Amino acid sequence: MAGNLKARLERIRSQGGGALKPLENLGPVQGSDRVPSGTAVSFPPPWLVLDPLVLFRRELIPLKDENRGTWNWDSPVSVPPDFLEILFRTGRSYTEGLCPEDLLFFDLETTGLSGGAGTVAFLAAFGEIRDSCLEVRQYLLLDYPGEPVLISCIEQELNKKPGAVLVSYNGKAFDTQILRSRFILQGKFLPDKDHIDLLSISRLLWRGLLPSCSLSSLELLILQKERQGDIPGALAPQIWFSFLREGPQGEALKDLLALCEHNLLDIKGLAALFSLILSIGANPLGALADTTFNLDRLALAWPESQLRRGLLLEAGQRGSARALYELARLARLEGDWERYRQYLEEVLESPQPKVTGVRLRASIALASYYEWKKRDLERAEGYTRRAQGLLEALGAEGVAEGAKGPPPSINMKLEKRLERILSKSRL
Amino acid sequence: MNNDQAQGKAQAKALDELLANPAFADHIVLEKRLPALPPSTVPIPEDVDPRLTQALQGRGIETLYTHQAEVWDHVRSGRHTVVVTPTASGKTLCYNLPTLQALLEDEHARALYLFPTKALSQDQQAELNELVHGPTGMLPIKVFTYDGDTPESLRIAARDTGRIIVSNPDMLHSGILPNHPKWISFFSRLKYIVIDEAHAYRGVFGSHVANVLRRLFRIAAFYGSHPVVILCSATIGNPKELAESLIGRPVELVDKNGAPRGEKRVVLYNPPLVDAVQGIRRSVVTESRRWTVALLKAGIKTILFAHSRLKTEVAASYIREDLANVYTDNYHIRVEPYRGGLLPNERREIEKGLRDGTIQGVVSTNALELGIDIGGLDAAVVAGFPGSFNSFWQQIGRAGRRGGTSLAVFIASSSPLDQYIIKHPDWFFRSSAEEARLDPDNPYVLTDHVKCAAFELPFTDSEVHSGEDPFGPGVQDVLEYLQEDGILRSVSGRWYWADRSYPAESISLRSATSDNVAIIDTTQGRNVVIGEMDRPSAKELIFDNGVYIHRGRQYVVKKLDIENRKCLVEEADVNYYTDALVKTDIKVLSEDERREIRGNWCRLVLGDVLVRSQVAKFKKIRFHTHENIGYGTVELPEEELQTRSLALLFESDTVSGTALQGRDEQEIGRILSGIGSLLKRIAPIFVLCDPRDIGISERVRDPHFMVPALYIYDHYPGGTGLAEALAEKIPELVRTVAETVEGCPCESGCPSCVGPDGDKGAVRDFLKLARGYGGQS
Repeated sequence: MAGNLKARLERIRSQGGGALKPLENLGPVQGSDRVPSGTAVSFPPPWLVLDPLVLFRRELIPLKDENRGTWNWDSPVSVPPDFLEILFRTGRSYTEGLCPEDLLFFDLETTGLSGGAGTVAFLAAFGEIRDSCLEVRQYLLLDYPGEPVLISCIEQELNKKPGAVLVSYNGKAFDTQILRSRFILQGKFLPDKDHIDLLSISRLLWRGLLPSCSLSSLELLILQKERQGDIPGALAPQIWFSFLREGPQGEALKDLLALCEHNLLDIKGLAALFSLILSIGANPLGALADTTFNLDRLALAWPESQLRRGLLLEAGQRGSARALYELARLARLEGDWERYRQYLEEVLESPQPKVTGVRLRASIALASYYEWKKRDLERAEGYTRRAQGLLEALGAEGVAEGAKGPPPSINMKLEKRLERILSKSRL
Repeated sequence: MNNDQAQGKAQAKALDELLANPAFADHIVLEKRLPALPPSTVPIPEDVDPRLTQALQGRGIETLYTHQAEVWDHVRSGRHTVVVTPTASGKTLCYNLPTLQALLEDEHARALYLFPTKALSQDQQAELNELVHGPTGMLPIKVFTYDGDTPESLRIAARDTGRIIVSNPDMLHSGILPNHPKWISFFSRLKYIVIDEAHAYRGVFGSHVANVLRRLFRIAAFYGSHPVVILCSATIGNPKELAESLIGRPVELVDKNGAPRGEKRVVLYNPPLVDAVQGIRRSVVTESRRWTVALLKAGIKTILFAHSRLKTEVAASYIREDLANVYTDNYHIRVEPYRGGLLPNERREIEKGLRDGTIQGVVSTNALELGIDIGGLDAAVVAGFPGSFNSFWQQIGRAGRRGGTSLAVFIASSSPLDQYIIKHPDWFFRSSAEEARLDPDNPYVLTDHVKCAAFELPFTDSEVHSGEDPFGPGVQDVLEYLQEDGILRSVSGRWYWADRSYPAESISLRSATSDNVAIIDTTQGRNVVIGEMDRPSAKELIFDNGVYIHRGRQYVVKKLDIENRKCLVEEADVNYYTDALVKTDIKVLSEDERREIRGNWCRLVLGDVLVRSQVAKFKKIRFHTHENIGYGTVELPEEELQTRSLALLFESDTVSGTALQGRDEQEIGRILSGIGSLLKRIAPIFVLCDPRDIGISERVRDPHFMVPALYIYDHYPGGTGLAEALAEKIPELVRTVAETVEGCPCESGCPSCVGPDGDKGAVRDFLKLARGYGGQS
């Protein structure tokens, strides 16, 4: 290696060269070789020192006022197994139900957003239901060398109850990946646990009704809880790095403590959201009185049953094109052609926005129905032309949104259909 | 006589006729027949698993070539090995055999295959699959390609169950290594790493890849693996050195090739002088087009290597014009241009057409030099020296199917280098060629990879100081530097990554600083990306009002938006192309080493410099006649570059300094610039590099050294070892330059020596004294 590497690097920096730009507003660098003693004690109670570099805090939050709808933390689950199937998304059936004590809410704060080996979890929070309270336990890492202790603590949390069910928000794609990597780097394997990730069910229930399905959006708009003076989670990495550099004093400590509060509130919000979702699952039609959600998407995801039909009918009555289309499909399976036609026509009349695709399918179905079942060529032609118009509109919508648009084969098929109908008319 | 043989005979006859045709024959400088060579074989070793032996027999392989057996021995004994092979010598079996054997012996063992490009890896994977899914049943070995195109659904299967992972350095760098915990099963059982086309890993790219490999070894060691590396390289002057620089460990060399070779006719052709006084020859573009059209019309499938993107497009246009004939559908001959900058699907289309015979001719840059399978062509025409003899042999290796005779034609351009070697044709047949060069410790490159490495696994003081860490003890400087920048944190004897970003994301392996400009066709409101180019090249090639040619179509640049990395172009139909004039300014940053050279011709100083270059004007050059029909101006910000340079100082007490005494400033300027441009164009035969890698700048009175000086610098930030390598070769280089000028038939300067505006007399005079030097020991 060139002996003057240091000099060359200095020159590169002073010329402002390339990607080697120093960070802005850096505070003085905190000592390098040993972590100064006394760091841990600068934290106010109830923080406890588990290890010079790992702190622990336990908070109890009463849940009475967190209940929404009909869900009651006291009783064991009265949520239909069908709904649990949707929640778990593993295709298993859950006839035993779900006990509140089995739930383990969790959330991490990390040093970055990538799942790579360099992203470290420095704050881990776990929530458990205990006697109508939510007990939150937090573990805070004060510097890198403490990670083995942190990982052991997390491992203990996960192994406490063999039947525990993890509940997280985006945890399947992110948090568990991070933990899996951190465990491997400590020579361990992440215990395998059942896991409910509320992101997917939230998307199902609230997509299109809210600008975003982030936990904070849901908290604000659906749970209607505003956090006062909360620190945004996106600042987590720089808060921890500043703390490392500057030590437990001034702004750095203040911000880190505020972040721990934010993390605590995230667990609280997670539990509250879960409670709401369970209440929707327990009684979807009842829940409509208190809260808005996509009844039609829920119905479509529901396993086939009497309840599902009921949900579809309600959604149909409220004008959902998707629900009506599905009802039409079911009617046809039952051989009820009159109902089939009625539902399809309702789809076309539905005032719901952004369902051009569904309307297109309905129009094509009606064209076919009138051509073959009723031999009413005039109506068949009408619906075929209508379908062509809808196809164009769909294409335009797609282009406007930057999407690819429908495949060209639909256009060709419609043209063929039209030709065929017209030639039959002429006979 | 079967069909193939009949065809072969007909082609041989057509070839003979072509070569006897006075339109070509009169200017053939040399024709050499390289006779067919029989194979050198040994039986398949006894310890090869019978399933594998069966699979080989299923593909018609009953014996091994000697070099394949040699590699087997070395690798089985745990020694890293590099095997040097020309095309079509069974090199894949060199690595497939020991690897598959190891995977059959140990059901958990894994292997990693690395290729420089996705296309190559997909190609070679097909070969591997044929062995694994042999006619006699499948070997229990799952092979997965893992690159940017691999769908998410396959990635998990690949990581967990893939026994052989086929990938490329870019994917290793940004996808695999930073996510190594996901690859725990793979890394903890990694036995072999195969690095194919190792000669591609030189210069900047090589410097990056050497560092990616350092990271790979760190990670493998973390999981307890110590894989053996098998490298394959084309013929270069220093394969062992290259391999050892690349992997940082000692490597065994296998370079005696045991494979058979078909007969090859090599023709060296020098276009005739059109103006002896001015030294002007018929253009290489015109001549190569004549040859190619003649070959194609004779039914001989031909590849024409035209070397620059511009020349490739221009040549393809000319050839199509010549073949244009509505009645015969262009003689049923289809010719396509091929180069980087084409979109991937366009390239795939052409490769396929060549393989299945629907495309008979292709005009290519060096892009088709590497091993992508395009079937066999019958003739290769190389228009102008491709920059290295290594490239030359790779290119002509494209022609020749098993058992037939193939033709290779080299057409010299008027450049001094070409004229020099066509007059000394023995250069072509020398056994050892140029040396490859890379510098893994280029500070820019090294620092980038130290960041990635720290992200992957913290550095430990004890491992750094003991030399255990593949980055070596010198990495301490970089770690401290990065800590000062707040990106790393050192605590309790370890260095941790302390930033929220993902370092590998912003680092491209293919340039010292990343940044491509997208070229967008905006004709009639369109908005289609038709190509891309790196930023520094963009400033010199696709400036406002410049002409850009893509797949034979012309575009004029409407706006080059460097900041947003976009270049908007519109279709055009003009009769010229454009060529930029670049001005450079040099500031010396350090003097690291001063050297005397034999005979004291001049002094050398190696050090860092800051180069500022600016494109201010461009020439418009008419197609076909190559006249200069005008100029245009360009307004682009300066390009700044910090790099390594070699300064030639013509101090008054040196031979050259003395030779410059008494001349006026203008004459000195002409001499220096003449020598500079000659040095730049001839250097490639001594040191493996692209012509664009060398920058030259002359100073009649250098403000720093206060004497006449000539700077030779590396075009890549931080340098790639080029300046250092040239320092070793200055005496030979100068002697070669002198011989070129002396031996040139022109009167006062021509494109083949100092240039038509050059001062041949003065340069010749100046170099008289230099001619004795360099060759003497």
